[in-house]
Amino acid sequence: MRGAEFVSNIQRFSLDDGPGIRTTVFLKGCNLRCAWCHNPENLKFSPVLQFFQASCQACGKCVKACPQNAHRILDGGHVFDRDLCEACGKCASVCRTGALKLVGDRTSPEALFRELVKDRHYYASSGGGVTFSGGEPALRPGYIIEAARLCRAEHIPVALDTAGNVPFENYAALLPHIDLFLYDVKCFDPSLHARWTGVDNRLILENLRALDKAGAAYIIRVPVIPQFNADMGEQERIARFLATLPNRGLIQLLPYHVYGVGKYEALGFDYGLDRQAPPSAEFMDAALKRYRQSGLNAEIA
Amino acid sequence: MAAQKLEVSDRVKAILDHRHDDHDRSQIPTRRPIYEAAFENYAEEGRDIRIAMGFKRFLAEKKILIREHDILAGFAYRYTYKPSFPFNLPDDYDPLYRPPAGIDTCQEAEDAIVANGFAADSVEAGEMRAFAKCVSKWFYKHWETGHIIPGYEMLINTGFGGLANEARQRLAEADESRKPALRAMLICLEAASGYILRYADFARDLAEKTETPAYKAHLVEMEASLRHIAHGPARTFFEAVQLIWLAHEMLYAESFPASFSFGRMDQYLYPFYVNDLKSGKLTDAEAADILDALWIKFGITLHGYQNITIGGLNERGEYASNELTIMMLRSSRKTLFDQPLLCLRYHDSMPDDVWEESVELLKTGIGLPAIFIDEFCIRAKKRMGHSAEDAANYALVGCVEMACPGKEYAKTEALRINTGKILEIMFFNGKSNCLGSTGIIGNAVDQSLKLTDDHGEDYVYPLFTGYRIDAIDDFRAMLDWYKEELKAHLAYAMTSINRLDSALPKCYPTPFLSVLIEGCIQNGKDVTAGGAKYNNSGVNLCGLPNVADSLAAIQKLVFTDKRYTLKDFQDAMKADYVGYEDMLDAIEHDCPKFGNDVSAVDDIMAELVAAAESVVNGFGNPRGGHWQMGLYSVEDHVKMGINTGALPDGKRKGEALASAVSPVQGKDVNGPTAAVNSLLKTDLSAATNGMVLDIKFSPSFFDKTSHHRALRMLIQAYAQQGGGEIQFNVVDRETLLDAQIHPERHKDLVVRVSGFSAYFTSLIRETQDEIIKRTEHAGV
Repeated sequence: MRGAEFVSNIQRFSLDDGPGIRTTVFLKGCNLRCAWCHNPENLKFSPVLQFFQASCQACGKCVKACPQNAHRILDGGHVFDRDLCEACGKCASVCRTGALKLVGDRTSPEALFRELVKDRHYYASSGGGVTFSGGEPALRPGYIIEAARLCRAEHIPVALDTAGNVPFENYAALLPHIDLFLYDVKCFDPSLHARWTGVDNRLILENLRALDKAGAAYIIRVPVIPQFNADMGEQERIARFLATLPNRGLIQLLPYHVYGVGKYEALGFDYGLDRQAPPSAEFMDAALKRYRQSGLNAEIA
Repeated sequence: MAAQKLEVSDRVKAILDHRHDDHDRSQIPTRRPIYEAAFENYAEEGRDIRIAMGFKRFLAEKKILIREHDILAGFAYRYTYKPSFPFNLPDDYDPLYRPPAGIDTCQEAEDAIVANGFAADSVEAGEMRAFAKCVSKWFYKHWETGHIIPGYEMLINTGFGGLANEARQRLAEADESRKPALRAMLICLEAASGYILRYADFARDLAEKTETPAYKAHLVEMEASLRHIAHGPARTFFEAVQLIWLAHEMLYAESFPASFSFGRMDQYLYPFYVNDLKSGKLTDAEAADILDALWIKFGITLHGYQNITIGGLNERGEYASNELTIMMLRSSRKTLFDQPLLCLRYHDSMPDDVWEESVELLKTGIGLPAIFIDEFCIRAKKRMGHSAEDAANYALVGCVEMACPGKEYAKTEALRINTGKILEIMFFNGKSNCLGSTGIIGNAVDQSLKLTDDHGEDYVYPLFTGYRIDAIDDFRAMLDWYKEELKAHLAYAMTSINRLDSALPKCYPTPFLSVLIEGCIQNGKDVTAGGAKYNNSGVNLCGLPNVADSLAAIQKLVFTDKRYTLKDFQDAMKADYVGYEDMLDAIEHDCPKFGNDVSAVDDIMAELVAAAESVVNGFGNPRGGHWQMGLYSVEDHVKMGINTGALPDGKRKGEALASAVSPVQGKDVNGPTAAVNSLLKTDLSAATNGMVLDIKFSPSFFDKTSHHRALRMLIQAYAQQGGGEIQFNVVDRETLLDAQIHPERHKDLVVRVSGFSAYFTSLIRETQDEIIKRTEHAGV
């Protein structure tokens, strides 16, 4: 399929990825490795197999279907040898309980658009639209431009949820096709950033300055993560940096949540963060106050 | 942001604290002997007069009660009187719960055969008996009386005395044919005044005995008000509310429980509220106390389906909400009872404060308010012959039906059809694999009546076309056959109800209800004889999403993929899919399901509704009205499902059918916009008797105010695309599961089922399971 990419999920009635009622498209593949990532199924560019042990009834259908012999039933229980798995998805297609799920469906821009256009009435009535998320969707500018063209020809606004760690030429190409950027700023200190995400943030902050200068409309999103940046010193540094951006708009503080933890188990990944309680409401309020003191239009999302 | 319960005043708290004191089983059987004695004493009179005399005597003798802390006079009893209509109601049910009650349609049919002058062995008599048998097996459902919005607004502005003057005048001018009905109405009007005077005397006596000065003062005022409104129109907000309650109480003395609703209460009480505020007779706090007291009365009677409509466009096309709109939303949040059912009329111009207050109530999870789209509802009423002015003044009755307050004998629950069972019997030449339970009456399942041998009876249900399943060789033929059967069943059942209705004025007129419906006094006709201005009847379709999914599965697996034959389906259904698990898998995973925005199945739904409409529209009734079609199921999708065998959509024997036109439980996996889109492919303007779309959210959905706005935008887009009604359940799955295990811990859990709210623990297990299964659109 020419021009197709792996899409992991098309989430309709999505209310937290930009204004109004939206459909969010999750593309596979990311070049960061954030310890708290809540979409770990989108880290790899290729499809991955999720195995939800709790849903498995050990029926054995997958054993027959798997060409790699990755599934076995032992003593009435399902044993999955992930090292043998090539994520061909044959087991998932015979699994009737939802225990096995292949994440990543090769989808052309046209096929994608046919899904996106279904909720156009809701976008129009609510000021919503389509959001590309991931993974890192800015790694796939050609695909997004193609899909965005189709959407915008039907007056559907397009937003891009990006972590910023891509060559600026990608953004330069995307700029004319994107109505709103949702831009993550995770911390200000480059070494802290490198330790928790695998890369330092010089390119990310540079790109943000350049986007600001280029006149892009953007919302800044700051995930507030215990152990990582949930301290007032780091929040203060982020706020000070953001205040230097002349065209800044809304800044959203996103308190850490644990909803993604179950996915790690299903993927056979180790969770990079010890199970943490979300930051306290008091801390979030104090951080919010700090942002507002810097003259920033901030909210807790 | 968890839902916040609002506190009531100390005065109202006293009423709340004593609300369980009035259990009194002894009153349940009191009505019938009094009526029967009156029938005997007036044996020479016609049926109208005899029923009116029964009403008069019952009002003179029945128990009344005021407690010293009461704000409103009126006896909020927790039981139902045994009526004179053919009706199954045990004498000794526990008044803590709603009674297991139902119409004895077999007896009703026998009465109607005589009243219509059909010979006992005539074709018509045979058809009526077969119809009654189908009703007893939940193939059809039939409910009699009620589902009416009495002219409470007219009453508070005219008074029983004013209505009596008019009735006297009409009687003086009337020809002989109209005199009995008018005399009966006059007897009822005098009885009503007399009943209120009984309360006035009670208040006087209680005031003398009461020692608390505040209570005493109020009882003295109450007595004066009662003496006035016994005949006169209401002068104050208090008197208006008081008069409405007592008239309501009296209606339940005349008829057995069915929906009596209140119309646009925030609108018609508003002038009284404003006047009293201006003149200093009333404060906001006092007005709230009066409403709270009224809400408690609604709540503890346990009568179902008492609707109050708030908001909505006025005759000038402006959104008319006011202080009382907000106050009523708060009364529901303070009491958290499952009555009254609060219905919010929605228009894009609705102010934000009404929406925010509504969200606060939605957050509590009691399923209120239900949202009704003004454009849709007004258009539906116009289509059914209402004037522009009356259509704009519509309000809700029963569950979700639109009616004209005080001018319409609506009968919206006259008939419901189990569309799933039609499909089932098509596979078996009229026989069902589910004998089912005939032991379900009202909300209760009598386990002792549950029959165990499901193949033990060879009852053959009517099929009308003469086709057989083994002769069907393409999908179009299958779909067309189903549509033909559906249309024929509709025509047969509507004809049967018309025959029952023709007998009503001769057998069971309701003269007191007639005085509260405009037109009856003027026309000198009982409401059952067509005295009202509007006289439509409702037929409601149950299980359509199962039929659409079933037909889509047949199309895919039999005719497109050729993996199975219709004979395979027949065998699997007969075996209730035991031994056919692979087929069940194929149905579940490889076939499109209604509710996911997939045209292959959504278009079948649209075609089914259009077929039904083609026969319902234009079908007349004996009162000069027409039939109108509803796409809602109350709780009957559960009861009808219990009585339906396995279906080609994978429904197992005894499982619930889909609620209303909502997707089959748990089958909608693409979120609320997809569910709404699926439904909107059907021309919903066919649903002139109302419709329901259930959407369920977990409480966390409401944590963000941006979500409140998004929900309103969802409603707005739904409205713009032709939607009619939408309702929200806000309960998490864990809570519901826990309530099944520990009902004692969740006595206060109110959920919206399908068109009504009820205590979760009072529902039958099958209904509980069905609510849990409904897809939860979690916080996304």
